[in-house]
Order: sequence, then C-alpha cells, then structure tokens
Amino acid sequence: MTLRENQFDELRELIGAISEDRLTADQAARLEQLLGEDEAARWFYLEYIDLIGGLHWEGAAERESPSLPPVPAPGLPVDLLQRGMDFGSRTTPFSLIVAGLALGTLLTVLAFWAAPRYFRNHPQPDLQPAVTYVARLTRTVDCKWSDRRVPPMPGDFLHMGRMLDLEAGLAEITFDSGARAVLEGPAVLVIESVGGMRIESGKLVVNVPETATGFTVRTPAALLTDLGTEFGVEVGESGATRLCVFKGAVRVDTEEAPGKVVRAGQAVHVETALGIAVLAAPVEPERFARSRRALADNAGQGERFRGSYDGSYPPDNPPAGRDRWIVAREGSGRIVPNSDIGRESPGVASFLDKGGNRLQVFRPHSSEDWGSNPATVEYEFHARLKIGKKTKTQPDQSWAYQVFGFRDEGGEGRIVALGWYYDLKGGGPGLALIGFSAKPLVTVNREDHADGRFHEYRVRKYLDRGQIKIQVFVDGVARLSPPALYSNLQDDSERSVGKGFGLFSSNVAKPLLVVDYIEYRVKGGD
Amino acid sequence: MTDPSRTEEFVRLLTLHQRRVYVFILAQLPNRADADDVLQETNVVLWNKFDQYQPGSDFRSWAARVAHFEVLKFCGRRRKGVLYFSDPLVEDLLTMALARADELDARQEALAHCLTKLRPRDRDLIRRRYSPGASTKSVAHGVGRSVDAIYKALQRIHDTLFQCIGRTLAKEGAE
Repeated sequence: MTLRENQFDELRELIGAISEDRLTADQAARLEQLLGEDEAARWFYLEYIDLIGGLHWEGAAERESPSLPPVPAPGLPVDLLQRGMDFGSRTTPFSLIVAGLALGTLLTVLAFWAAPRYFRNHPQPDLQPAVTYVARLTRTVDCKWSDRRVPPMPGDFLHMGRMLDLEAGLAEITFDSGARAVLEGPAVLVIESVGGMRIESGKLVVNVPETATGFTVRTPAALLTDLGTEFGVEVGESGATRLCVFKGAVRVDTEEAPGKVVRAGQAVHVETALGIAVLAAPVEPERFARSRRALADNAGQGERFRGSYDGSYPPDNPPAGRDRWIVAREGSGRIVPNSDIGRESPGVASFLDKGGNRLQVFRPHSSEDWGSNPATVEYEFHARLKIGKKTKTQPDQSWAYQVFGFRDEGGEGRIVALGWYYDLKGGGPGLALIGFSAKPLVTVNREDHADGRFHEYRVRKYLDRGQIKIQVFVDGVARLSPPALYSNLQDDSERSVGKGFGLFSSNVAKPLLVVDYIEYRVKGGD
Repeated sequence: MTDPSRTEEFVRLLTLHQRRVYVFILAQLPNRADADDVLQETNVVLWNKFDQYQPGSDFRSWAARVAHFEVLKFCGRRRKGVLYFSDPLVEDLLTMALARADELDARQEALAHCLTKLRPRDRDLIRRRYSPGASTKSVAHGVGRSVDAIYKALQRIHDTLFQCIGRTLAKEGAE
C-alpha cells in the first residue's frame, strides 16, 4: 500500500502533534496505523522526527559565545585561562598543559567536529533579543511550575515579558522599583516592566512602597494603578477581576468605567460577562490570607541573594566609573561589557551574567584593576544528584564546582557550574559527562554513594588570602575539603603543571565531556 | 573502566553517535525532557557496560538498542502512556533508522544549510522554540501571539525546512 498525498498531509499533522506532545489517543492510534501500513510513511516519520530532533539538538547548543576564550582543561583555575589570553604568545601553564595532552587535543578536535555546526558558524547576533531584567524571583514556597524542565528558582532574574506559570505554591517577586508581589498558584503572570505586571489568572498580593507609587497590575478586565498601597487581586477563568485594597488606595480603570478609586477596606468585582462593570464587593481578606502572610514574613528576603555570588544586583550606589557592580558577602566584583573582555585583568572567576555581560571577579592582587583591594568572593551552587546506577540531576540544577559558563534558558539564563566531580569521601577522582544542554549526562565512580537516594551537594569555592579554597557540604553536613589541589597556584601559576583531559565543543559554556580532574603540583615547590 | 585507551574510545564513539541516539529516543518519546532523561540513562548504561562492547562492532546499533531498552524502562517506571507506539512498530522504526542512518546523517548536514536560508523572522521563531526550556506556549507569550498561531507558523517552517533538505540532498546527488 502506498500513501496518498492527502495521507502525507495527515501524517504531517500527526507528527506535528506528536512533536508537541499533544497527540490524543485517537491520533496515536491513527498514526500507528499509518506507520504500520506503509514503509514510506515510516521513513517520512523518521525524516520528520530527525528534523525536529536536529532542531532541539541545535537549539540546546545555541547562543554560543564566539568571544569567549577557549576552555581550560577541567580543574584549571579560570585566572590561568585569563593569563593565557592576556599574555598572548607567552608560554602559559595552560598552553603547556594543552600541548602535553594529546588525548585532550584529540578529544577537542572530535568535539569540534561533533558540535552542532549551524549555530557555531552563524552566531546570529541580530537575532539576540534585547533583554531587560526588571525583577527577581526572591522566594518560593512549595512551588510547582508548569515548566518542569527549567523551573524558575529563587534568585532568578525576571525580564520584561517573562511569563510565570505557577501551578501551585507561593512565589514572591521583587521588582527593581521596590514593589513586591506574592503570586499564589494556580496563576499565570507576565512581567511587563519595572513598574507593572499582567496577571492572566490566579491570585496576587502586591505591596508597593512609596518609591514605586504608580505600579500597575493589568488584568483581562481592568488596569489597576497603585496609589501607595497593599492590595490583593484575583482573576478568574473568565477574566473577571476581584480587587481588595488593604492599605492606601488603588485606581481601577476599565474601558467602560475609567478612574474609579478603591480605598482601604473596600473591594470591587470587575465583571466581564455582561460588559465590563465595576461592582462593590465584600472585602473578604481571608481570600488572600496565605499570600499576605508570606508577604509579611518575607520582608527583606531579597537581600539574601546579594550575599551569595550569583551575579546579583548591583548595589544602590555604584562607584563612579563603574557601570555595574555586584556585591558578594565580603567583597565585590564587577560586571563588564563583553566588548571589554580582552582588556580586563585576570580574575578568579569569569562568566556571563544574565544580560550576556561578562562577569569577572578579580583576585586580590590584581594590580591592573583592584590594587590591594581585598576581595573575598564566595559563590555557591546547589544541586541534587541521585548517585548510583540511575544517576540523574534534577531538572535545571547543575552541579559541580568549576564555573565555566552561562546557561541560556529561553531568553534568560543563569550561571551554571560545570565541570567534574569529586569523590567527596576519599578525595579521588569522579567523572562527569556533560551534554550540550549543560546537563550532566553521566556521573559514575560514585560507589561510595550508590545508595540510590538523592543527596544534596553544595560546593563552596572561595578565595582566601590569595588561595582558592573549597568547602563541600553533603546533605548539609560539611565535609573535609578535597586535597589542597589549588594551593599556591594563584601566586605562582607559571610553575604549576597538571594532568587529565576534557572534551569541549567550541562553546565554553557547554563542555561535551569532562573526564577526570586535573591534579596540580608546583614544579620545584617541595 | 580504568584503561585510558578504552575511555578514549568510549568518548570518541559516544560523541560521534550521541546525536543520532538522541533523535532515535525522540522518535519513540517525543517529549523532550523525557528524551533528555532517557539519553542520560542510556549513557550511564553505555558507560557501565562498555567493557562488553567489542571494538570494531557497530556502536551505533548497540547504543540504539540500549536506548530502546531504556525507553521501555522509562515508560514502565512512569506508568503512563508516554510511549505512543506498539513494540513491533518501534522495532520497525529502529531497524529502518539504523539501516538508513547515513541518509539521516546527510539530512542533518542539510538542515544546517537550510537553517541559513530561512527568513530572519522564521529563524528567530525557530531559535525561540528550540531554546532549552522553551515551549510553543512560552514562545507565544514571548512574541505576543496565540499558541495556535505559533503552532501553525512552526509547522509551516518545519515544512519549509523539510522541503529544503530534500532539495539540497537531491542537488548534491545530481552533482
């Protein structure tokens, strides 16, 4: 039997549905029938899925950063890399290591060959949307997000146009203007600007300080403008909007009834079914009790994100001449535009922030920039791994402790730690295979933890008086630091050597594979 | 696996065939997040059992079989109808995918070329849709259009790419 032309059309429709994972049972049965009957249909299916799969694969490797430097072998402190860049033809430890690692070179060539080609050769800078971050997700409580793959996490930056689809739980959003909102799932919200948001459905409680007066909440039925206040909004399936004002006042504008001011202790219901009408309603504060409690409990929580080094907001008063700064727990770093990379001095950490800027944290003795400014920088990454035969990371939570790059997540991104894995008990090597999507593909050699349970690993890496130190926590319990592999490297990296190998694509942010870890020792440093 | 040369061999083969294995998983398990998970698990098995792999034998075929088994295990664990096809059909698809793997590889090469031919607007839509974590719904919100409109636009672009791949390969064949 041979498929007719219209059956190919039908097949295409069904494949479209299956690729969107929205195939119904009836459609699945029909697809099975078509594919089962005809070899041409099976080949057509494979060709089409191959196309979709190829786009997924390419997409995961997109947003490569051609300006990023080559990747050091795993374990190599990033400032070595920076030295290698800055001093050009000088023989650097990195170049020595690379030259000595025939295997690494082979693998790198292989990786380059294997890396997705379209996006590598076509950076498409014109396609990079301008992204403006105007808020952060400052707290989540029992949140279940519709996006299971890359769920939002506390500390995430939120850009204009960002949609949050919360199925359950409470999520606090803090705008740059100072306005704070607690969303209660199920709810769908879109960040519109630094001064406003749109709620499609669900509940929201908003607290607007004086500095943010004029903050707006758009609903399908009305535009709510803050007049210095705290209020709750609930949007039903039909778009009907209920507004309860707890403090201050809110102006309610609809197409048919502009400019109604609702004051503290009042509530209105904006109906859409019979034309838009603003009706008085009982206040019913209990409808928003949970969100209001969360809002009150969480005052100032946003600050804590400045305490860990995650590319956090610049402080309120950046020093003159510094465009953007970040502040870590006891020190500071700064964000510099991408175009400035080559001219910057070595740093101990170097990666991209969510705006695509290159982020560098300078080591204390960098005379080029920081002079003797004692910067002590800490950064932490959290991960949950299931160790054992079924090793797997939880979605979106990368592990490891060496920072290599930046993970893009549909228009925004987060800094990720990529690299290898320590045997946290014995100090021996671990192994990690990391895929295009910055997600470890394999972690093995973990016999010590092969109990099949999830463990939470936190690796804190910090700089202390010129030395990188590492502190590991397993399930919240501090472990002894791994051997002092990095001791003295900062001060005398020219004399250090290493071994090991890694496999990387041309994209610094997405190592294909990192196997083993680098051991360092200092030549003649006994 | 402690022999460095064996590790090297594993790395080489895995890298070479990773994409093909991924697409094969996707053919059975269209949900991308599920496919990613199965790919991870497949790689774990490949790594753990690499000692059993005979050098010089067909790694791609072996990896595809392992992947298929992992798909079945995954679906069994999830206990829901994430697997759309019957076993005989999946077997047929697997056999065909392996027999014509070179043709599929050629199609991937052509895809890279065809992406460059897309109109900027279509390319932008593809970029948005296939970014990690993106969905048709998120793209629709991002560009301010309905989900249905984006779905149809993507189908049109897929068709365009599909036809372009066919033309490109035909042209190469003629040359």
